[in-house]
Amino acid sequence: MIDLLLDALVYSNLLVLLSISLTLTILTLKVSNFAHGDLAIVGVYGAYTFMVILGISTYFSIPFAFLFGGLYALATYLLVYGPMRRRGANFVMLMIASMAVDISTRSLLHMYADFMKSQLKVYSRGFIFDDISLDITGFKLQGIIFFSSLSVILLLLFLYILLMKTKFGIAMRAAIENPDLAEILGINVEKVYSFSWFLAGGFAGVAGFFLPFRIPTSPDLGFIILLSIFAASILGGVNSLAGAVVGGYIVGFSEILGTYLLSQPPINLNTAYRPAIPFTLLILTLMLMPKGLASLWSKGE
Amino acid sequence: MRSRVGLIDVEDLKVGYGKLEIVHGVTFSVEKNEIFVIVGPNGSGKSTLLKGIFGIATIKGGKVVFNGKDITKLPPHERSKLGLAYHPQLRNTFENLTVRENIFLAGYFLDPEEFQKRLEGVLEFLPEIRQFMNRKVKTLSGGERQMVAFAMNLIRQPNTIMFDEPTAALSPKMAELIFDRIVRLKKEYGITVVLVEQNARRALELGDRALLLVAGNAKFIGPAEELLNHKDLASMYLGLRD
Amino acid sequence: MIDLLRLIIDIATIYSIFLILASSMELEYGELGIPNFGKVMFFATGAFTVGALAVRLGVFLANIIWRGEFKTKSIYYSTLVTNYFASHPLQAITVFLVTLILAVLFGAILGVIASYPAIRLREDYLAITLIATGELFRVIGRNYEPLVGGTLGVGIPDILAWLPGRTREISFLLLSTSLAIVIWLILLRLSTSPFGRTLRAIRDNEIAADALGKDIVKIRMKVLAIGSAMAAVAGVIYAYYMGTVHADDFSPLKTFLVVLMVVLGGRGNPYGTLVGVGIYIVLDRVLTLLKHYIYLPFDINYFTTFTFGVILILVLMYRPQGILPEKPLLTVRKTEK
Repeated sequence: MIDLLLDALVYSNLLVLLSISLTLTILTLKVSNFAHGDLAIVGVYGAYTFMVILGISTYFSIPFAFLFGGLYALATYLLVYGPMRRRGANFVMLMIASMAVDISTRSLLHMYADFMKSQLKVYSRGFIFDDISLDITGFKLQGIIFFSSLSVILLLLFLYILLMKTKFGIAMRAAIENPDLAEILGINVEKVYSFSWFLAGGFAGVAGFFLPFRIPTSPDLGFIILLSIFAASILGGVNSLAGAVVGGYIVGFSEILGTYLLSQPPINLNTAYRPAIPFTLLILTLMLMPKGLASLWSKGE
Repeated sequence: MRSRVGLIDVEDLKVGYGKLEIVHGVTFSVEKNEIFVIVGPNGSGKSTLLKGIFGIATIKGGKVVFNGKDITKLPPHERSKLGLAYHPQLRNTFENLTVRENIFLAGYFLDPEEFQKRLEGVLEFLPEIRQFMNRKVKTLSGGERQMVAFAMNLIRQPNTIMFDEPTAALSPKMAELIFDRIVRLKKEYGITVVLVEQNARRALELGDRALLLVAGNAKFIGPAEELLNHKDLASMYLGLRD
Repeated sequence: MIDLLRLIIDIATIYSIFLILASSMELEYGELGIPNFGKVMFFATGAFTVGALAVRLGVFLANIIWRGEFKTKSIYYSTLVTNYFASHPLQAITVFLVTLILAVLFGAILGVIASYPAIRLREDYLAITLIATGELFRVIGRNYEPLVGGTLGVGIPDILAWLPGRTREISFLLLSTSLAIVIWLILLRLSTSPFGRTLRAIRDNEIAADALGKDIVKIRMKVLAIGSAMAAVAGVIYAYYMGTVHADDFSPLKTFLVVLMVVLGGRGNPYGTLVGVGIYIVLDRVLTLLKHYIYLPFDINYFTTFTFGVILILVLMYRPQGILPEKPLLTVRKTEK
């Protein structure tokens, strides 16, 4: 039971990182980004590559995951979404573009996985990372539990300080809310948006880094968990960073605990039906509370 | 009306959006330290004209000269740096941010000491906003929001402010407050004001010179009092009966 | 020589299948403006109907007793049914027609159901809902074995077994292309009719169209029902052509490719649909041939998909109207003036 809860915690931490970063991109682009899950995978393959090449031990490659995820996200913004936004591309077109980016990214990852296998001679599909065991005041704790939770805490702290206490952060919130007015005041909206995407990609990359500790990782994994990420974001309230946190934990715990409970007698449901849980949460949210949980605590809008 | 050399010289300016031309070539000058009023029926292009002068609508012909410098092709924030400020009718604040954060952003490029100094000056001029400095703009009333937008322009210490219907949808009391401050801008701070107003009577009463814009064309340019008392124009286009 | 004929039959059949899918997407997205990202689900409906029913129906008509699990025995029994069909054309045709009609029915019903969220949800929420539902379809197909044989897939009897060798292939080709042409003509007819103009009016300005009294809810339902039925027909052809149905075949990649064809060919222009499908097939073949000439340290299929992704991005950025843009609506007759 404890193991199950810890599993759920790790998975939820992951979802929180991804759903917050998804929210960051949605705040700038106003459209859901279907390639978001792939950013996580780009991050982890980047980190994995450097782990193999440099022979460094696992957790030291987290910066690479952040870097790869961030740079790739930045590239997609500078090359595709930014130009499209400036030219006034409509909602649906941006959405289709993000799907095209998703397909291209996954193919790229597949090609890279093939390449990695043949050149670096390591497992490039269905690979997992070995964890370390931490000794905390006599308790043995798996590294992933500690590090994933720590990452979430640090990320939330960082975002809070950035957005609320720094000049640039306030400019970010302004540029996200009213880019025209921000532009008039002389704020470089493009720079702000680019930075948001870099940050979002970085956090997604770090989330991706934690994946192989629990799930055999392959290029398509980002798309497979996309549903859960969206469910978390929408449940929390798609324009709310706080909501993304709440949504992430609700979906994460429901998914892990739910799958376990349903697989037990008397239901004995095949665990392959796991996506049904985030799917149900998504549908219920869209039907009953389309603005998500955030609408409960925010007034106006 | 030949264009005199003033603070703002507008020559045969055509402004529009996309393929549509809304202002069909107007020529006028705004003198330093005057209140220049632009009035006209709904949809005549008053807002568009201001936006053209500021640079956020498409200029399709003619030119805008500010303080002797041709700014026709300059982007808005460059015009802003020259001392030209714009108070939009809508979306002129960041609603999810506090009043303090809004003004802070307007003074983004100032160093902290300068900002504090100027903030004091702004709060002296608009003491009403002291009480809601830490509230989010979206919790404020219409009149309070206009004051915040006002403050955001003042902190940049412009020499000219162009107002686009600042009293629209405000109570008469609030509207008077705004008008009062605008007049004080001219009298106490020497700021040049361009005022687009739907409330033609009040605007012409406190304005120095006026432009009557009808369907994108200038029908009158001259002393505001003359337009106010003009037998035909005032009643025909401004609904003023006297 | 024989190879060339095979190639032509292959390409023409694939073209027909994709033309039907693209026509349905053009109707829903190009004309009405609803991007149906669940397209593969309706495609699967047709294919799964055939997969689940064809061999069972055949076994029933042939009076064969089924022993064993559906999953492991479907291929064996579909071979038996094929032999039976070789001498019983009437039964073969019956099975084909029954599965076709049921597929169209199921597709249409599913389309009507899908129109409910399509009305209420924002486009991206709708998209994720449809994609997720499609994936659920795939997961069910993959794990619920009595449907289409789970991970092994299901065997499908040859409904043209009663025709001699070569004629069989050519007849199937004629069947597929006729269905494709009919469906495309339906699209053309709808597009150029007043109904088409109504659709485009709703697409471009829903509020105005609503004010003009068009019953938007009913129209959406109609369009999605028709589009989904079309996609189901494509699924039927696909199933009989492949001779087998496997759930994993029906992934969101197929939806993506159909979107690409419509956007590339030209949204709002049925002739563009013809072009879009054609370009895709040609490019796909050409790229696959590359593997014989260049050494690549990865599977060529990934490169092909990557290329298509990039092409769609480029089209969206630099020529969003597609190759054959929509013809503008003429509101004043040329003789006046």
